[in-house]
Parts: sequence; structure tokens; C-alpha cells
Amino acid sequence: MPRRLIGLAVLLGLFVSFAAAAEPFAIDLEVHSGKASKTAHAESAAPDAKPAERGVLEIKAGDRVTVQWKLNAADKAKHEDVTVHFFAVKEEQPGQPAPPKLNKGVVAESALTMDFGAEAKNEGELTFTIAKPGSYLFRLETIGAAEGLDGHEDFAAIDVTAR
Amino acid sequence: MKRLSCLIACLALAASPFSARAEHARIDLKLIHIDPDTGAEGDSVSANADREPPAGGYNDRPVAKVKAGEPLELAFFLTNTYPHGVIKDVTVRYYVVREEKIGQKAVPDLKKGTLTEGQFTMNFKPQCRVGAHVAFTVPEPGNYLLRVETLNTDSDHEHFSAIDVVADKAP
Repeated sequence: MPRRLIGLAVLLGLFVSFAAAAEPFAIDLEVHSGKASKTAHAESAAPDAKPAERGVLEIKAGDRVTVQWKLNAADKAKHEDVTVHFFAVKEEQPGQPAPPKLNKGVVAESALTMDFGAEAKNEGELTFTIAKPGSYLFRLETIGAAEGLDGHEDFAAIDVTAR
Repeated sequence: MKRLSCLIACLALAASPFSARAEHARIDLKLIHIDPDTGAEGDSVSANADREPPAGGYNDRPVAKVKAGEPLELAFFLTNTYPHGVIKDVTVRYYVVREEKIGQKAVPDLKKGTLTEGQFTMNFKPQCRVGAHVAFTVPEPGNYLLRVETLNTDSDHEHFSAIDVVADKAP
């Protein structure tokens, strides 16, 4: 039985590695408040892609929260003028499929443009306070990275519930 | 794409060629009063780019008067106007921190705590942009410094923009 489990773990590891390598961008997104933290990694934002279930970080309203990310081109190909977009916005409920519009309830938002290639990377770190209770979507995404027929954007997302 | 915000729309303007000045960065920094009921933007105070050295730059900082506890938003756009190639691993940092007095030249010690802060490390290509807007409040009356700045631009100077914030007691 242990051998089967090890074999399954190896296969799962290979699958996860393959799936990660299939995304043009690698993303490490982490949100933490006090000792609690959640992480998320790159997913495809293609229309037919099924998003993974988002992790939920629970915090107290009024606490400081820090979001950190690293983003680089996993495929080492050159991607020019990519926008790296982050936002933290109030949402109706944790896990809702469609991100809210950004015309209200935005606690923090950032955007930058740069070229990605073999060595270029972007890192970001924002610390702010969520004053009001509720559920918030923290999402980092690429814009303008989709190239070719199979091209798509990547994103990583975490839900934050402030009580 | 309706979800895309005003921030992204403004970022797209980076494609427009602006006249390159002797300075290497153009910065538009704002402190905005936010209506507590509607969330709408109200009056704002703006500042533009300055440079260091000398410590504290060349220009007097504008002063924003706020009330402790009122909803505020900081917003900035920084455009890299250095036209001669890519500068690697530049940091753009912003923060709101308590200061001793309005207009002081020295930047307070950030290790003692900030109200809000953030930074981005990225490669600067000509005309690239970075921007952010973040909601915050000033919890206690006092003097505060809102500042956005570049670090590690491989130059003999760095650019920044700053606003002094005077928070009075809430009514």
C-alpha cells in the first residue's frame, strides 16, 4: 500500500509539475495577516479553463494584510509589454466564479507594464488594512500576454474573509 | 473586459509618446478624500516629481488637511522617461508614515511602522508605467508623509513625489 501511495504521489507530482509548466507565466501569490497565510499559483484564464477552488484566508476587519507576489515567464519566451494587474475588491461571496467589477469596493489596485523573458521577473508587496467586514477577492493577473491561437492570460487568486 | 478599471485604462496611455525631459521619471501623486457613504472621490491634493539628492528634494511639499478616521485614497502613476534602454530590477516604493513636522527633509524610519506601504521590483523600459491606488485612513491626529519613490535606478539620483498630510481630530 505504501508503495502505491508513493507511486501515486510521484504521478501526482509529475502531473502538477506538467500542469504548472504548461502555463506561460509562473506566479507565486501569498496573502498573510499575522501568522495566517494562504498561497496560490498560476492558472489559465482561458475561457474554457476550469478555475481551481480558491483558498480562503480569514482575518479580522481592521487588521493589516500583506500580499506578496513573484511573477516570471515560465516558458522563458519573450513577452513584450505585459501588464501585471493586482486588485483586492469586495465580492458577493467567497469562491464566486466571476471577479467583481472594479468600479466599487476596491481596497487596493496596482498595475505595471514590463517585458518578460528568460530572466525578467516582477515582484510586488502591498500592505494595507481592510476596514470593513466582508469577503474580498485578491487576484493577480496578466493582461496582454496572450499570443497565438492557444494563447491565454494567467492569474492567481485568493479569497480573504474579514470578520 | 468591462471589469478593467480606470487604472488599467490610464496605464495604456503609456503608449503615447510624451516629451522626454531631463528628468527620468514623471510622477503624478494624489491624496483623495473619499465620501464615506458613496465611496465617490472628493477633493484631492496633488504632487509631481522631485529628485534626491539633496535630501528632501528641491520643491516644497503640498499639504493635505484631513480628519482622523476619514476614508482616504492614495493614487499614483510613475512613468519612466529615461530613453536609453532597460534598467533592471528597479524598485518603486510608496508609503504613508508618521513624521515629526511638516516639510521635514529627512524621511522617517519606516521600520517604526507605516499606515500603508507597498513596493514593486521590475525592469524599467522607456515609457513603462507603474501605478496604484490604495484605500486607507489616518487613525490618529498628527503629521504624516505620503511618498512614492524610485530605488536602484543605477543613477546618481532618485525620483520621488510626496505630500504632507495633517490629520486633525475627527469632529
